[in-house]
Amino acid sequence: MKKSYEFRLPINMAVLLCSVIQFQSLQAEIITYKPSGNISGNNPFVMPSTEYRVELVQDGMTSECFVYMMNAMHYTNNSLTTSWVNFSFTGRIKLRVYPLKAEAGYCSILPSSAGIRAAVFSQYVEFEIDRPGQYSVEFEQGIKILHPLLVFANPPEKHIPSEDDPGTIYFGPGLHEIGESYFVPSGKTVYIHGEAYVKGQFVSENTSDVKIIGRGILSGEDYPARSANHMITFNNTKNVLIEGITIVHAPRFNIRSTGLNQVVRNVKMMGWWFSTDGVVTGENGIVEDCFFKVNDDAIKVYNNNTLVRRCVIWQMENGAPFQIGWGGDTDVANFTVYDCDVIRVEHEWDNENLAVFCAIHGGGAHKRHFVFDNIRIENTGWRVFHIITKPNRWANWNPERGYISDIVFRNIRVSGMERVPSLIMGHDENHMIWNILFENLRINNKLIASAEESSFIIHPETTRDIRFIIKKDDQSTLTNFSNRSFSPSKTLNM
Amino acid sequence: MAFPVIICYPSPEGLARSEHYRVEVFQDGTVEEPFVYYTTAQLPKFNKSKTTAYCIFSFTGKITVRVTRLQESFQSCRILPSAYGIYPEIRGNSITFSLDRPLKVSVEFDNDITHPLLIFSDEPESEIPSEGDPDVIYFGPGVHTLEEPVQPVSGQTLYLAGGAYVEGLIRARDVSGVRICGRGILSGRKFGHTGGRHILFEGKGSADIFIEGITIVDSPGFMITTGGPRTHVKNVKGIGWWFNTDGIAVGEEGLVEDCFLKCNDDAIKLYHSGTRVYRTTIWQMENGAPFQISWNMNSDNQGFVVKDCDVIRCDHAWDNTNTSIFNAIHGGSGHMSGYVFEDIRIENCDWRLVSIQVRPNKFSRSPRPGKISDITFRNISVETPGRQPLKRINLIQGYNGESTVSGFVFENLRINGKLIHSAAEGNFEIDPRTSSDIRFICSEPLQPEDPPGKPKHERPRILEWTNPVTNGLNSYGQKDFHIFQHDNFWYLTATEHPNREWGKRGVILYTSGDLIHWREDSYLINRNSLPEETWYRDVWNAPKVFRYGSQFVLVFSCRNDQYNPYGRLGMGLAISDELRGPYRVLTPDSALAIGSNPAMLVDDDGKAYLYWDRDGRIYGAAMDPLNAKFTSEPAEILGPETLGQHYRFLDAPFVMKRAGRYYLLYSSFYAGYVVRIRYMVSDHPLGPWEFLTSDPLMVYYEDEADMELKMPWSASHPFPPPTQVVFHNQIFRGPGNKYFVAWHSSEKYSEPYLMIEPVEFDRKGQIILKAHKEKLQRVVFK
Repeated sequence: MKKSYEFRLPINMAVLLCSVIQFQSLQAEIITYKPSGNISGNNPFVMPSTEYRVELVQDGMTSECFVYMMNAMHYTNNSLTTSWVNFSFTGRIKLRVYPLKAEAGYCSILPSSAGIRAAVFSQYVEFEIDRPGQYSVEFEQGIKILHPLLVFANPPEKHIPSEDDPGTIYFGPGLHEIGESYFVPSGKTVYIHGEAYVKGQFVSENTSDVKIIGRGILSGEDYPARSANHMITFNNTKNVLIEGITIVHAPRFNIRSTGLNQVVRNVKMMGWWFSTDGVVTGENGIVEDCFFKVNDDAIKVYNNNTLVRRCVIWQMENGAPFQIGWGGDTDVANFTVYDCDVIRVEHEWDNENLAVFCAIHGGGAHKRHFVFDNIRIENTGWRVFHIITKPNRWANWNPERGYISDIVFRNIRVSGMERVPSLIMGHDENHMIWNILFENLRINNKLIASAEESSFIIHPETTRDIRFIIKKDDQSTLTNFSNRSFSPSKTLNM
Repeated sequence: MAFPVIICYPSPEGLARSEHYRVEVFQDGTVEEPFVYYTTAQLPKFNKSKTTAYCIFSFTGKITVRVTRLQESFQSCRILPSAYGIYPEIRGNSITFSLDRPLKVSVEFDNDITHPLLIFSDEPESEIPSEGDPDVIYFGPGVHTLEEPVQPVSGQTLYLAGGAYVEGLIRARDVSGVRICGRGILSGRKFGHTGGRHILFEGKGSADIFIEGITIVDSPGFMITTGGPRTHVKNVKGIGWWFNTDGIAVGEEGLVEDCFLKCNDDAIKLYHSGTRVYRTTIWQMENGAPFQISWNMNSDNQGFVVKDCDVIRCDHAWDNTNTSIFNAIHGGSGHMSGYVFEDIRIENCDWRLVSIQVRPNKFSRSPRPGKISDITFRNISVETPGRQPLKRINLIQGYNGESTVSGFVFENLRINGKLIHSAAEGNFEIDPRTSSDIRFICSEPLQPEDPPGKPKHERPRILEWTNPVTNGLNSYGQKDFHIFQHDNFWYLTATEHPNREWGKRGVILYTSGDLIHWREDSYLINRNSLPEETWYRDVWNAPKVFRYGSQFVLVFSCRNDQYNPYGRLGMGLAISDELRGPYRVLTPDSALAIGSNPAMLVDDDGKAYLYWDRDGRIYGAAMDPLNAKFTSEPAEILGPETLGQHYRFLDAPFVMKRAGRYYLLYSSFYAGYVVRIRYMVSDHPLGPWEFLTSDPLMVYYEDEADMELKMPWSASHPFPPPTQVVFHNQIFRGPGNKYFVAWHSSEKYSEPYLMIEPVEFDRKGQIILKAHKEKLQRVVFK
């Protein structure tokens, strides 16, 4: 299908776009970013949105915010476009969103747990936010929507390196083409300015103290699906911070990292192809305050002591929001995932990697001690849990061992359909699955006290100790969306 | 010459070699590089080719030819005539192919004929005259420019040694027993269009002329003309550009065989009684007919045979009376009769097949045109580009009630594979007033049905199909195909994708007479007739039927989704006296073993073996099918221990025996989307197995997936795929008793479908895929 990319810029918008607008006051400010010059109606990969116009209002001052847009890249993609805005702010702001092709009728803001409601007027909608986060502004109902609009509301940058700092690799405003294996040495900080557009991919290996930060865009648009590298590939790298940037058009994974002590924070990832997995970190990894609209596993919970929190996931047609693993031969343990929102799951094929919480463990490792706490899932219509051991082509099957055990699912709240039953099954007696606790599992607001109350297949011979309990007095201990802090991780002191 | 050898000839000094091609010939570790000549178009306004390159060498034994295209890159290559079944292998800017006998072929890149390459390979010369012999006019290697025509006398031999390039004409009248031979070239370049005929033996006295082996290029007029009886033209190659570069016109009882003509007027004149033409390949250019019956013969002639010839191209695009494959514009007073055209294969022709008319024409002087009668066209096949209909109607008409055409039989005429049963079907216009007894008969049934093992038809036949093969098969998708022959038919079973209304149905047998058109035949096991608690009620993975003595054995892998959903499959076995059942399940209570994709081998000694996969490894055991018992302990035959670092996730084993050796085919999954099909061999049905080659038999890389599947922009498409896969390969005997491989492919997540390709085994026993991944597949068989 041939698409035309004609786009007429409204005059007032064009004028406003010419400068970075900062409204300073004691407590409140808005920082918007001018789009890089390569973004135009003629650019097939990123262009000014033809679907939405967005204004930001603070202290009575109104400013236009540039709306980016991508077309879908693969015909299995359910969305036809994805638009987004990216700005930083403090204080309290109002967003005014104009759908350009239809009247505003219905509007909802996800994740629902943020508790934001939009006021709907005939030409636009308005809503307020008072803390950073990633939001989806939806003018269509249902799981498949054609023209999403995402709001990436960042906190202001805390440490902006100077351009001539020798420890900084500085990508200022405009387009930069860096190739598919731009090496980041030890001790360096890559800074991607909010008005920078970097085409290419970063790699680092056997290094330490490496950062990639900023508010700019990293694009893999030059690479066909599953070619070139992951967008960021860090091998055996210690003390890593990837923060604040937006990654689009990944040909493979967005971030694939091995090593130690890695923090991925407030990174927004949007990929269209299969294999555009989100993040996998090395040991002691933290993935926090990130946004995913990806078409393969969003978060890989693979390596010891991985901590995931306050992430927002829009899972496309392929892959699992939380993937425990396809294989692995080394025993791993201690995984914590809490306070996350899965705002949409577009699954509709009968593949074994299509479930919100997923494991298809085909390796020899014993994977254990997982806690999934306070995960909210909405707009889902497929399968929630799929925890199995099974030989598969990504793994080295060990006939003697390979298990999954000790998982706590606490306060998992699902709203939507379960068209495919959840499955918990070992491959045989050498590959058992045991000790899984479902505590306060809620399906469409109903507390589930046993497998029979919901849609579960639990294989009796290859599993044991699969339990469901309800602790009514547990509510007060829940973390919730309003606790989002965006503070640097204390554990790593980065 | 008994031992294998390649003979190349010296390259003449002063001649430029082709800038477009390099040709190398390999045999047993030696490599020879024949000089690649070329000739440029002499009528560039009309000639579709701008140059034509050619090379000449001789050999015995088997050779590999490598052609390198020096200037342009290319996507595809084919070797014509297609009937030879030569498929090139493409590597970079080169192609290679093998020859096991001397042939003259055209090598075409990307279907483009701007700069064609012709490869003329000959048998080595049997007797080479000596230079000093007074009866020999000898031209050694090098360029010879002759101002006067060579005028041989009776009994003389004109010898053009390989590497000789003789610019000259040959003229004689009423001489007999003249031989013209050698591997040299006779060029008419310097005479332009005005030199007259190139080799001319005038007069009825020019008897017993023998012309062998030479190459005639750039003729100013007719290439070879003889007036007397018993001319023998053998193994002559001709390239001409002008509108009257007719090919070969010989006197009575002439014999033309093993020639190659690329000419721009009538290629072969069938004028004089008793002319026979065998095994000749014709590239007809813009003008003229490959087979010309008459323009203006005034004598009566009869008894013509044209057999086993190929017209590889016909560049016709004008509405002239002489632009058809079989042609007559008979304006002479003679009666031309008794023609047999048999086994003529025509390809790359989109114009007109037959135009046979009796009528006065610009060359005829007779007041009353004669007749044409009694022509048999037997087994004529035409393939048009893109299998489009011919652009011009076929025409058969006389002139009036006396100047008639009559007694034509078209027996098994095929146009684009379709048998032509009537004039209308073949788009023939037949003038009823001036013609009679024009018949179309098909001695073969509509669908080719060679009994496997003992071919009924001695003539080469062509089976063509397009992959994937879907005709008559389950449109919801099938996997794990197993094809076998029995009672002159082919039968197929497969893993059936659920029909949305019916769910899984069990084992369905499909039938075909040609491997291409299938129909649902019967249920071997109907899943819905089984008790609900039966262990084998669901999935029905990879069912296969094998002949075991007088019995039929059905193996399958199943489970019961009610109490074992998503669980591992077990294997079962059933037997029947008849192919279509009823089948008695010999494993009613529990599976034979855990495993899937079971495949059986029945050895020559009657022993049976079962192979299957489980958890990414391949297992096997000897078994007694009639009692559903293993007779040896099931054991892993391929896995990490046996394959070491080559081990990957394995599945879908298939074992066959050929030439005393056992072949094991299996799928090997690498991480990601890449699936490789490998095979190993053994002297024993249960191994140990070793690789004959480290190359996989098949692999689909993601970059190769159909562009439509990879297209970067969103489009409405009902299923979601990013790549193509290969799975579950099986080798079976198809038409002509040839080997074929059946496998299933799919774009990830799509409905999987059947692929069939021909395979061959080379001298080392390696499996060779002749036209791997080509959508249009073609097999020539006897």
